[in-house]
Amino acid sequence: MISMDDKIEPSEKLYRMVLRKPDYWKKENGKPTSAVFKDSSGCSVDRDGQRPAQLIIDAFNSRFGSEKLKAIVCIEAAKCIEIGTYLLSCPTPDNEYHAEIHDSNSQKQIRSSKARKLAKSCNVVYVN
Amino acid sequence: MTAAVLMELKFNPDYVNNDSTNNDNIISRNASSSTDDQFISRYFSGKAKEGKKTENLAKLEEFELLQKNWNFHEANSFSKRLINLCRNLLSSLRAQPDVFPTGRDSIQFEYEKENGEYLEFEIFEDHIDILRIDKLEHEEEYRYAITDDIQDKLNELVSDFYGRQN
Repeated sequence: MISMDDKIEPSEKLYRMVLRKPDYWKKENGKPTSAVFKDSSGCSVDRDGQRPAQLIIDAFNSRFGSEKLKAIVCIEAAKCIEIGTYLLSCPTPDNEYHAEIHDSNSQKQIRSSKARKLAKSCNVVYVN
Repeated sequence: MTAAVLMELKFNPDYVNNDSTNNDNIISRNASSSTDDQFISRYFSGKAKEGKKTENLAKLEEFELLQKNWNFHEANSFSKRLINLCRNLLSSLRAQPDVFPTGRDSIQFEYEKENGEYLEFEIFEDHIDILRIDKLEHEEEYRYAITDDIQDKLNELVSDFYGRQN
């Protein structure tokens, strides 16, 4: 169990779900569009919390329903830092692993160039 | 070489004209931008363009039906104003993009080549954020206000993208 007050370490992995509908998938490269990382309050992700990937995938399926999920992608925290994004641990009552990727420590919404780099750098760990 | 084959080659980013014996019939990658415009216009004005446009307009209808929190991250539903703006832009664009919704009240149009060149329009109600990345991964980001000539401005970028020589 990790402490949710902890700073996100570069060695951690961050997981993001990709909806089936609307379609975010780019067939040409087998990855989601950068639009999937563009939310009004940054980009919600789940920290790995030292859990095995399958447990995380099961948790996403359970929370959102497998019929809603197209894929789950994962990106290393170190890569997010290299891209220049700001990582914030923000656990919720329902999800102690919840975190957000912000553009910077003063701007939540991720600028397009950084979202593009996130999309190119992420790894697909589950496709439904 | 038939015109159809030539057209395909022209839009293959890896195509380089090494045929020095038949230059009269081949327009090289150093052709002028007006020639590129002609190619783009011809290439994207056929059934392929119309099919993609129909698909994109159908996507907008799908986006229009999305309810608040459609992405499970508190995204708003899309306004009629934004949907109509995107519909008008799609109808006037010289080449059809890939279209995706975002969770921040915008709709994203993307053009991408196999060599990594990338052009993105993130359409908001009152402005459009542009991202251009060349094949050397040089980035440009800037913003256009929504003005009467916005369709022309976007079409210039699309023409430049498909005719770009770098």
